[in-house]
Amino acid sequence: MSSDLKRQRLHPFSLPFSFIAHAKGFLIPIALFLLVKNDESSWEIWAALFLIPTMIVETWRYMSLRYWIEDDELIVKQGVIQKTERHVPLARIQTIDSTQNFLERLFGVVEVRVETAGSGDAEAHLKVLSLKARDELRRKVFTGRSEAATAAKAAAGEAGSEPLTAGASAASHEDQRESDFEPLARVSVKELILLGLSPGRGLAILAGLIGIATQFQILSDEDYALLYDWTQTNMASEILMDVAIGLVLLGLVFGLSVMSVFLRLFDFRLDRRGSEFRTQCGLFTRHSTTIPAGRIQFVSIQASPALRIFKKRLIKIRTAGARGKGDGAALTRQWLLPVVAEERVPKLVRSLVPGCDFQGEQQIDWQPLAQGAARRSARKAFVGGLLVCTPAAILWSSWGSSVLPWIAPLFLVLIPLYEWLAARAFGWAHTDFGLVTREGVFGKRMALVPSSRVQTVAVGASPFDRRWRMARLEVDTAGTRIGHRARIPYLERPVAEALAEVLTRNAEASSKNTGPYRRLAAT
Amino acid sequence: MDRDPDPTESGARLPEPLDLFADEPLPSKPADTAPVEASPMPLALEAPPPTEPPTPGGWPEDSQRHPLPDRAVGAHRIANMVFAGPASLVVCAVWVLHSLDIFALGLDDLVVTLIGSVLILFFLWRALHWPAVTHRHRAWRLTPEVLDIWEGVLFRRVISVPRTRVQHTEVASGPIQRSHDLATLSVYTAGEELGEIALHGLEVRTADAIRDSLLNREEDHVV
Repeated sequence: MSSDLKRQRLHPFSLPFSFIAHAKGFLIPIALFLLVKNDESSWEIWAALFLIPTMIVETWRYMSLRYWIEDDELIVKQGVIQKTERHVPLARIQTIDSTQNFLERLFGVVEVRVETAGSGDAEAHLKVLSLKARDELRRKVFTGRSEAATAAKAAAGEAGSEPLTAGASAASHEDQRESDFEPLARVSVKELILLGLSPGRGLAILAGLIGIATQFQILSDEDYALLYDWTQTNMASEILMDVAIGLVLLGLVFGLSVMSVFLRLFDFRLDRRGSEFRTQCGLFTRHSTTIPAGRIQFVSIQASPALRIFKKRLIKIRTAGARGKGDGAALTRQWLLPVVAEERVPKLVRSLVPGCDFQGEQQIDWQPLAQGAARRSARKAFVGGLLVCTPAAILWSSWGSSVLPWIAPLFLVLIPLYEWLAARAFGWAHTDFGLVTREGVFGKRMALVPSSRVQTVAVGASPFDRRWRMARLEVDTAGTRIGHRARIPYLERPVAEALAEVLTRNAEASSKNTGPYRRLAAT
Repeated sequence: MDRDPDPTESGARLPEPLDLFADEPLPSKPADTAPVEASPMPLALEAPPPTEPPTPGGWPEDSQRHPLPDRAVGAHRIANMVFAGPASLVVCAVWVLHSLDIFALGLDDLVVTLIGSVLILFFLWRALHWPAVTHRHRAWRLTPEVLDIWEGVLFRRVISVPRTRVQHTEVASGPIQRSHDLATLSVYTAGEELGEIALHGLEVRTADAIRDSLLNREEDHVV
């Protein structure tokens, strides 16, 4: 068959690259070990030495990989002692993603991940292939896929007028020529900086760094004392000192955030070819991900305060497929478009989810939470604040200084107030295309779950919920987690139950393609 | 179960709701009885004209809420004692060692006795009484469209799995369950948080019947 591919090996550079990849895993522990420098513990050195043979065996096993295409299947054989042979029907292959880190770009090789619809890791992780080999693999896979599809159709007796040339034209159509891709968006440097100006990410990184610094005592007590003395002698006014420190910290937080955004999302491009989207991004490591529109399970539209000011939005998606844990490619796949003008969002969402008639946030008939929701939410935060302040007050007062005037207003007033506002800001709606929720006071988030993507629905109630005749609805979807779930707290119980009922029925109906969808009637 | 057809406070007008949380626990039955008569769906939403006649409601697909068999409580207790027993013995051993001054905790004798007895009481209560409590709140229901599972005592929950979302199922039995003729049915979907939903302590016959019923679907599974 034209799609057959003879036995292929990995590119020779795979050997050093694989070795480096394994060594990277040890770099951080080794670096930390050297930093700590404990004379008593030499057992770590011995442990490290034992790990080298493991690395060698792993690398040897990796180099034993062979792949080829035969009989409409991609076959990957690997292993020396424990041999595995994996057959992947071409029809099941959803995407072929490729990644290039800095070194790989230098040498013109690429990591390829072949993914299918099922859960779990990529079916085949080929590290590394030459660009030519990658293109050939893609071509053969997509030729084979369309041939199989044509053959299946012929067998089913449909559309008998599909000439043989259809296979050839399909092959050339699937050929990944750049000209086939219609560019949709490109994120500029300014927009990336805007994205970076969200304090959350920077704070997390800074907290991590401080944690490492204190854990491994990189700065000793004398260093801190010296720092303090220096500030005392060099700054006349103490208030100025505090302001300066505050600015430095703020700068650090935002700087780290912008840096991390740049590393991952530099030169973000979104292209489209038919019903497939392709994203490319990355500064040193360049990720290229294909996202068939039909694979999208969940759309998350977010806006930090900075983005809101400039009327931009951020779109993240959940797609079914590999559930990479910290896998670079999987982490990138969640991004559909990090920064986009808000006017463009409805049209994009409509093309992302076939059959979805999303006209924009304003057109949706948003429903609020139950009547006592805001009060309950604020009360819960207040009680939580009491639980924090009471031991803090007791502990700190015994040390002489009083921290209560500082933390009490925060935990007892500001946070409950924020929770109250957040509960008021929460909105949900059951539309013809599925469930939408929106939330957030300063930064906003919107979740969209098409009916056909609803997996499981759970309605739960804590003892407090039961007392107030409220319940919480959770909708489960497929795909890697993106930190945003479709859930509605503090719903009136009958509403939660009816909504769960409608969602599951529509989920069934959508897969059987029987209509009409039933809608939750609302005034 | 009370039904509330009036408009709710927030203004959303609803069809007749189904009370998914029965406030009173179900009376437990000695065992799953023979096939129950099929009954129509208790919830009346505006139903579109059905495109195909509904599957005749034979057990287990009878849209009735079924509790777990009573002997599941006993099996659960035995399984718990496998851990609680040794744990209690360890506490006793520590107490004995402490009173014989072999192993000294830096605490008063009375305090150690108190803590030890509280711990043991807690282990025993958790192992022996709690299963009966959870049993009262566990149930399942299979309709032509959905599998519902009730669970939870303090934090109650009902999980609804549309049947076309079931990717695969698994019926498994531990040694204690086998001796009671019980099994655990696990239902897998493509979802993340609720990708695996388990019903522990079903009769083997029931678990197999539900599994067969779920797998009788011809349609492609939807992801």
